[in-house]
Amino acid sequence: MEHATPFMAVVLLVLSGIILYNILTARGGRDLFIRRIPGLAAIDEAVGRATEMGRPLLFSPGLFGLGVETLQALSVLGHIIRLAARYNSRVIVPVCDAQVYPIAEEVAREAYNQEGRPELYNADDIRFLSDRQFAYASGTVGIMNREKVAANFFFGGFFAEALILAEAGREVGAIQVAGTPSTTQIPFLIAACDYTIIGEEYYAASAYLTRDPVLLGSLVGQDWSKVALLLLIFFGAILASLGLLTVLHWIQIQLGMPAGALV
Amino acid sequence: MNFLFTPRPGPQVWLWVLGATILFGALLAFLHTLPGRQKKLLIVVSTFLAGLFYFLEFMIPTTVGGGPEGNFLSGGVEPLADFVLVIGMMALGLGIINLARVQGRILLRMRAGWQNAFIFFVGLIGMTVIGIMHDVYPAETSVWTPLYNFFFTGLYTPLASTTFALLAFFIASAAFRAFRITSVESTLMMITAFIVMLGTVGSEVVTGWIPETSPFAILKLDNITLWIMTTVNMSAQRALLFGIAMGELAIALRVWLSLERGHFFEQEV
Repeated sequence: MEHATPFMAVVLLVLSGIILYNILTARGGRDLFIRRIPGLAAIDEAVGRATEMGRPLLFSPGLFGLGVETLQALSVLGHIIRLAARYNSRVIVPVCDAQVYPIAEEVAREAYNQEGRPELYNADDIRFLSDRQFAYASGTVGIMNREKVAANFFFGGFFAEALILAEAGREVGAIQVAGTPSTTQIPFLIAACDYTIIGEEYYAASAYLTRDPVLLGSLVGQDWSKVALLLLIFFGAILASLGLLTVLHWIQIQLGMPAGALV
Repeated sequence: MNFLFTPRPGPQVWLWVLGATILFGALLAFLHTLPGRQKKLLIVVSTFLAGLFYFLEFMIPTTVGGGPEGNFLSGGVEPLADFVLVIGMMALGLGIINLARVQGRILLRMRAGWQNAFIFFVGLIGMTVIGIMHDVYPAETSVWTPLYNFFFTGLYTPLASTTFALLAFFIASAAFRAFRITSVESTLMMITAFIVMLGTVGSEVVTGWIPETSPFAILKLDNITLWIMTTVNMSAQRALLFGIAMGELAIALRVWLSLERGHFFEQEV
């Protein structure tokens, strides 16, 4: 089992402190700016297009289990359903993980309620397909073709099925927006989707879409944490280039610290 | 704690399963009777405590009250993982109910595609029975072994492989679109992809004549490919990973401290 070294613990606490500080100040009413992210702005366009065409939307929360990636995807799902509910559009959500399924159901029900349209909630539109990768992919592609979806949203962690889903969506003529933290699938989604949200933009999605002060503060905290990490890398590179890491090694040994405590 | 998570031999296990089912059924019934505010409080407190356990288990040095593999909290990690696994299995039951409800409605009302729904039920029930019986009678001579091999190894596995094989065609069509030269960026991508592909499969043919000891060896396609992959590509990947890691840390903090609950649990439904 992995445990934090003293250095790692300090870095983790400092980064967490930066994020929490920014969340608290944002809650206190600090005005925060967030730049335009084209992929997220395209969500409105995709929902509008589906409404004009009178066809449903499809949202895939990916293949990852119940973790931060999927929670973020479900957060985006809530926003998309709220938008769709305003325009009387239908959102189909094929789910791969059984633990994610009841939460997706709850998010959908809550989103329809928030828009004052609880009658639009259809339990059959939140579908658990299979926990097998390619069975899920086949099932989702089948839904795309049968329901003739007008827009596809792929948010969450994906594996090799990402391209199968995105290419099948392209074949049915759907506008496609994808967002994933799975770095290996990003090139495929960029090639096959109209808009792709990559890297930290994926985690900026809920803040961008909701403009909730807590989420905006957290986003600013993330940016400051990255600045802190960059500074750390910069000084690490300087120390290594000057041969000073040896000195830190020596101090570590003299103080009887375990390997990895400082360097 | 370990007493609860120790595997039970023989028929005793069924008593434990029954006991656990009754206990959790009663617990669920009790939770349903709680008013919304208390339910919310319960979620907040249990999320915080579970997060605190993993946080402390990671942060406390291994020298504090534990063995060589961990600290005094490390012993609880495996039972907790088992607990999560059990919860996950219960959720699988919910998933199957959803599937059966959706497909059952199609079948009963004979809607378009009812044949697929019928095959779904045959597959679900058939594979459940065969899978369980194969586990109960695992001998090679058992009648369930060839049935299991036929349906799982002989039918499911090739079907999954066939779906996977479709990727080859999808990659070709996606690559064709991605490599069309329409802008400076796509031109750069096209040139880079061309070098990497050539460096991977045809480096010896094109630049194999340059000796390794020559000062021009860096111009060998395999060396250029290596540089692109380990310097340009890797640094971009790591930059992405840093951003992702910070995003994950932020969302983990929000969930742990229930700062994000508005998205999932705040509204009464």
